[in-house]
Amino acid sequence: MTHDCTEEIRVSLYHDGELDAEQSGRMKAHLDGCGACGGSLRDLRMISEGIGRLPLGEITSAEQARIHQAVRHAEMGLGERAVLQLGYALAALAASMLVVSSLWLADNISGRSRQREASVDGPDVQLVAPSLGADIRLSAYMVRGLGRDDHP
Amino acid sequence: MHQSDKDLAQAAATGDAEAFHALIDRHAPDLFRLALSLSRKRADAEDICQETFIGAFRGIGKFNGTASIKTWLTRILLRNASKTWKKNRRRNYVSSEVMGEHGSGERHHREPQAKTTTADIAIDLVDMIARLGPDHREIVVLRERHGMSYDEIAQLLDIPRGTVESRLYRARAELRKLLKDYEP
Repeated sequence: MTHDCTEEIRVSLYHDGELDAEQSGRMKAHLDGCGACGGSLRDLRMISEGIGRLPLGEITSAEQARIHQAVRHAEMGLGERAVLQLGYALAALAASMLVVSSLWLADNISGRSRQREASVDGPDVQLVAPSLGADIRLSAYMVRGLGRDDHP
Repeated sequence: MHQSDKDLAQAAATGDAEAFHALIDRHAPDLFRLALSLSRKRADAEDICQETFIGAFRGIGKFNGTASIKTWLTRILLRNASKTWKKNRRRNYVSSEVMGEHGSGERHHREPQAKTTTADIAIDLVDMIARLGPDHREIVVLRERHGMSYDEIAQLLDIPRGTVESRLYRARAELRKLLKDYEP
């Protein structure tokens, strides 16, 4: 007879008890007349019995305790991550507040400097190039102010 | 009071660590047996179990209860066992490159001997199962070692029953071929 894959798969199903009663009866009859399928079934039985004889390893209490410990470490890691995330969020908030304050301060100083420049006459102030920025003008103003007699 | 797996999973998902540890106590023995069947070495089996429970702990919030906790954990374990198998295969490949053509000796074919009884082939079967690829190995182990039905395997692996049939058939054909190589 032709020994095709479909038959072999069915031998496997028969071996595992996965055929219904009718299919099983047909396979039984087939096995009586087919040496190749009979050989397949013998091999499958030998493999199953061999694997069945292998002892199933039981977990020891030490191994189980280490699993608990590994999960506890993961729990702590999760907690640390949450704290880190909160830390990053606070740091980002602080950094953005710092930037906003700096901008506000710079703008404020620059505004006051312009106001004072307008009220102060003198060649040193006039010589400062506008492109050098508000901070240089402010420095020049402060240096000149230090030389005044009425300065404390 | 005995709590169901589902209750424990729900409690664990809301941050009850002890509920998760109760799930470990309940399922670690079965999962360890499966991991050991798939990996052969106790150290590997322990690593696989640890990674499985750590993964489950991190993902417990995503557990939707459509499958049982046992099925869900077993799926995670099979993925981890497959990763371990691939990692060990790479390591064995590298070590065989370093050690020479035949590697360290662990992978040598033993001299053919007459094996007529199931007791004779039992030890060889451990070695042969370890040589199967992850898909074939897991299906053989689930069927032969843990006695799962085709429908249970199909549900666990989320594959059609026909795929279970054909995959198991091919895995057994591979095992039979390996056994034949051992026979005189």
